[in-house]
Amino acid sequence: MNTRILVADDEEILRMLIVDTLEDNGYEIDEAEDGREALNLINTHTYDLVLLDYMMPEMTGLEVIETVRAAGKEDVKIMMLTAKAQKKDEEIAKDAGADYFISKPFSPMNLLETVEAILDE
Amino acid sequence: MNKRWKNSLSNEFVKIMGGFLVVIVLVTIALGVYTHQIEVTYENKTDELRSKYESAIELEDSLNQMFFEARGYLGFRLESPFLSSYEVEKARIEERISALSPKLSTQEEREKIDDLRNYLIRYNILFEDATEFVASDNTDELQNLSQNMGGTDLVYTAKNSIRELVNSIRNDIRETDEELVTRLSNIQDLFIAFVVFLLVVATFLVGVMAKKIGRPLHELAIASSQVSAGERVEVPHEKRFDELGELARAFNSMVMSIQSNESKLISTNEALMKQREELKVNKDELEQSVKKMNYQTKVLEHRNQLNRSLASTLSKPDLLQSIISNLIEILSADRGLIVLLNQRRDHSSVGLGSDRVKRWIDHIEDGPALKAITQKKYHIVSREATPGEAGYHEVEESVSYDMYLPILSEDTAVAILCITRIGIIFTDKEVSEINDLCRQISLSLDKLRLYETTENDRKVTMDVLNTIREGIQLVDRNGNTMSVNGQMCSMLDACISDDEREKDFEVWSETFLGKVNEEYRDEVRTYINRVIKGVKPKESELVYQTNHETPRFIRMYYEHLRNAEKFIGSIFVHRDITREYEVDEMKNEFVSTVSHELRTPLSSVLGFTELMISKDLKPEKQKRYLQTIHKEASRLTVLINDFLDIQRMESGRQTYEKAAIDLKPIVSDVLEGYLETYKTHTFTIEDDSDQHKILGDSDKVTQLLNNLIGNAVKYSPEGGKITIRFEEKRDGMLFLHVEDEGLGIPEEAKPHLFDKFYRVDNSDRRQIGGTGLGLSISQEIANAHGGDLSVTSALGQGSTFTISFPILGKEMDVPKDGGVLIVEDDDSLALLLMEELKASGFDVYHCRSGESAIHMIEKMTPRGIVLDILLDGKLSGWDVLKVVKETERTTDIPIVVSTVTEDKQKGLDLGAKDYLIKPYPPQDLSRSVIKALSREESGEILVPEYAIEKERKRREERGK
Repeated sequence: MNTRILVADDEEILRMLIVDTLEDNGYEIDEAEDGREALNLINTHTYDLVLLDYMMPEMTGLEVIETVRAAGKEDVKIMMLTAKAQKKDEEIAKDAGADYFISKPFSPMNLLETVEAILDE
Repeated sequence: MNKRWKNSLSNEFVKIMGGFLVVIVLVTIALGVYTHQIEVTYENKTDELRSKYESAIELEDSLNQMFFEARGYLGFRLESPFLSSYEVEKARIEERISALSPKLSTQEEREKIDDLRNYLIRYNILFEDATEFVASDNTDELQNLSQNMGGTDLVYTAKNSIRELVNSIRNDIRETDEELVTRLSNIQDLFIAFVVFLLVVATFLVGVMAKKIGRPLHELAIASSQVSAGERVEVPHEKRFDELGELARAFNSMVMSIQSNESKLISTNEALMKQREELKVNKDELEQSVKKMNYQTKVLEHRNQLNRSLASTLSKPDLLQSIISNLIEILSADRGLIVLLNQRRDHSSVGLGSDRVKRWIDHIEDGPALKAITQKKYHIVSREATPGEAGYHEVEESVSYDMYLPILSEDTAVAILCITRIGIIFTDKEVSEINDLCRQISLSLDKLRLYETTENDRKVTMDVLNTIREGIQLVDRNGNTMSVNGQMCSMLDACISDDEREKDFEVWSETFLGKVNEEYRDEVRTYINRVIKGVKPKESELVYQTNHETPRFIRMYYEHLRNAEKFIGSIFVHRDITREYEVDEMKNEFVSTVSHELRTPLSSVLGFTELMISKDLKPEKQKRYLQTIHKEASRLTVLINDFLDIQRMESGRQTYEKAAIDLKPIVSDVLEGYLETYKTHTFTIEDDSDQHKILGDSDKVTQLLNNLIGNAVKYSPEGGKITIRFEEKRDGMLFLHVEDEGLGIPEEAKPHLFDKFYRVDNSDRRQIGGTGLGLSISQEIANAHGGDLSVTSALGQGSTFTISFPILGKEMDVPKDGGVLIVEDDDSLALLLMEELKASGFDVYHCRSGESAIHMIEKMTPRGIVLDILLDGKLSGWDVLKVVKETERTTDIPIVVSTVTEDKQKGLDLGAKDYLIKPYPPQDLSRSVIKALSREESGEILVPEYAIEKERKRREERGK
């Protein structure tokens, strides 16, 4: 079974960047344009990793995490990608239930290594 | 006892009256009995006569009846009824005669009855004959019998006989009656005679009694009054043995005893009179000494009063009044005056009119007072008393003494006392006494001066404290409040020193902590608890939030007060930093948002660059990546430019190179760029105006048009018609509408449309890029040109953005002179202020920028101006203020500054009448404008007169 990853970001260019970064590893990648779409996909599919942007229309990444965790899905690994780069933002995200936190702008190679490491666990 | 009774008047009187009564009673009884007997005799006799009379009458009736029947029979010869009736009557007559006979009393009567009897017997014989004749029907014999035999005569004789009897009886009855009347009248006469007799006797008795009692009593009365008048009298009647005799004897002995006592009494009385005189002398002496004592008490009392005043009065007028009025009392003087030798010539007087006091004070330096002042020694002037003064005392004392006394402090006269006493010279003792008092007064005046200086200093300090914008609280080393300034009270909406109780640390700290938001309360409590104990808290200052509806942020710090290293208390300073706090928050948010906005395109640029570096990519992909990098880098540039624009605009440093520009070619130029790029859209210009010239910066106007047309294109992704329409408004404004048929704006987004970084977000717009700054910048540019940017839109049908510009050279509909102009860039606030001033009765006009303000002020010459400092456009409120005040024609227009800029002093220095710092309640503006427009000198006296005076003096000295 292929490793399945969800990329949720309202910026198309950034989604493209992430998808292009991860595509060579043969992951199956779904894309979501906003928080609500992301939540729907998480509820209906099983993902090995979810990459969530913080600032999204409809639902923020934070709200998505809180909803998912509140629904009892503790095993979904969620990585928060955000332009809010302050230390307290990271704390808030982790408190809400994010497993990993990467701030924008990020290095694609670094992201790739991190994702690989997570999925190898 | 018995003897006395025998001799007594009462006994005599009783006896006479008793006899008198007995006579009356006896006579009355005798008369009564006699009358009764007469009545009884009369009644018996009358009864007898009446029954005799009645019997006689009856007999007469029967006789008549019998004769009637007889005649009837003889006439009609009918046996029945006449004959039988005759027989009956005949029998009845026999009866009645025998009934009558015993009643007859006289012989004559008895003879008459006997006659009657004879007549009747004869008649009966005749009748029997007649009856026979009737039976034999012998009428002739019958007639003969009647006429010749005396039948008829017999009848008449019988009838006469009985009639005579009847009459005789009637006469008897009448006689009896007459007799009775005669007797009764005799009795009456007798009675009258008796009454007359009684009256005579009674009169006699009264006369006797009057003589026996009345006269001696009268004599006694006369004697009594003579005795009481002091005459020697002896009353007669001493020989009498009745009560009067006794009385006379008693009276005489009393008179004798009185007369014998009188001489004794007179001598006693003389002794008493002597004693009384002695007592009176004693009493006078006592009164004198009491008077003297009272006077001394009064003097002492006034001395005490004076001492009290000198020791404790802190009010100058009260002290002066007390000094002079008590001195007058102590010296028993008539008038007095005390004048302080200061600039104001503070004074107080007793017994002098204000005119005289004024004259006196005016001549203080050339009159006798001068001598006392210069020689520093008292002197006394004796002079002839004025008529008023002499009259005042109602005696002919013609000398008045004026005493002039200097009050010396450090060998300089600080006050002068003048005391006038009429007719009585001041003794040496009094003078030395009053000199002593003067020394005390001098000390007291020194003390008062010191107090006033301190008090004024305190007032100045308090006034200064109250003008400070920070809340300040002074506490002693126990933490109890010593002083709190006004700002502290208004900052917390509670004064924590209204009364003594509230000054207590426990009380004020609870009140104060109650005003502090719960979240900060413990921290603040620990802080103040440490500070008041003189211990340094962890942090030297802290920020807390208040419990107000709109919470305020207060920074609090302290200072410990020490006197020669000894801890004596603390000062707490509370500074309202709400505004700074909010600005800070906004700045943080702005920085955070900007960084967020920059990171997204940066991610793309860095990310794709890295991918290109680290990956082997096909040339097409490489090109696409490069295109993306380029696009995102451009976006980054736009963003940075927008940020810079916004930043410049917000700090008021944006510059506009304004010139007369024609909007029409600018619009055409901008559109040209779009015509080439966007083929799915059609662009049209509609022109409803013949005026297109404005005063503007063509670059900025171009930027503004680009933003609006760019938005119109972006937000109509399906293409469509985009119309740019010029419209001229009557108020001298040119409207430029940019209409599209795109997505429209959701209702909930409209209020935020012009907010920085706001982007209408929904799934349809995901593709639409932008910084969220365009409209915000556009509005700033429109405002800077004296115009505005507004929007109307319906979701799904498109939007219309409208910019307004003032047309260059076009006369505006000039508002009436006399209105109030509000210069305010915040429309909603301007609306609020306009409503407030309108409600206060002003005509109100509004403009947004400094440029339009100057333009309007030139045109309309408003009555007053409400001026914001941070304005749209190039000119700030400061500039407007300077221009208005430096232009001669407008320099008198009162200006009230209404701003967030906390630089009141600068505003007032530049000539503003008032300076309101936002936010303030709108009614403050009304109040302030009304005050500024009223002709009175506005502004409060911040410091007391004293301080101004001191300042003036200091300047004068410096001048010299």
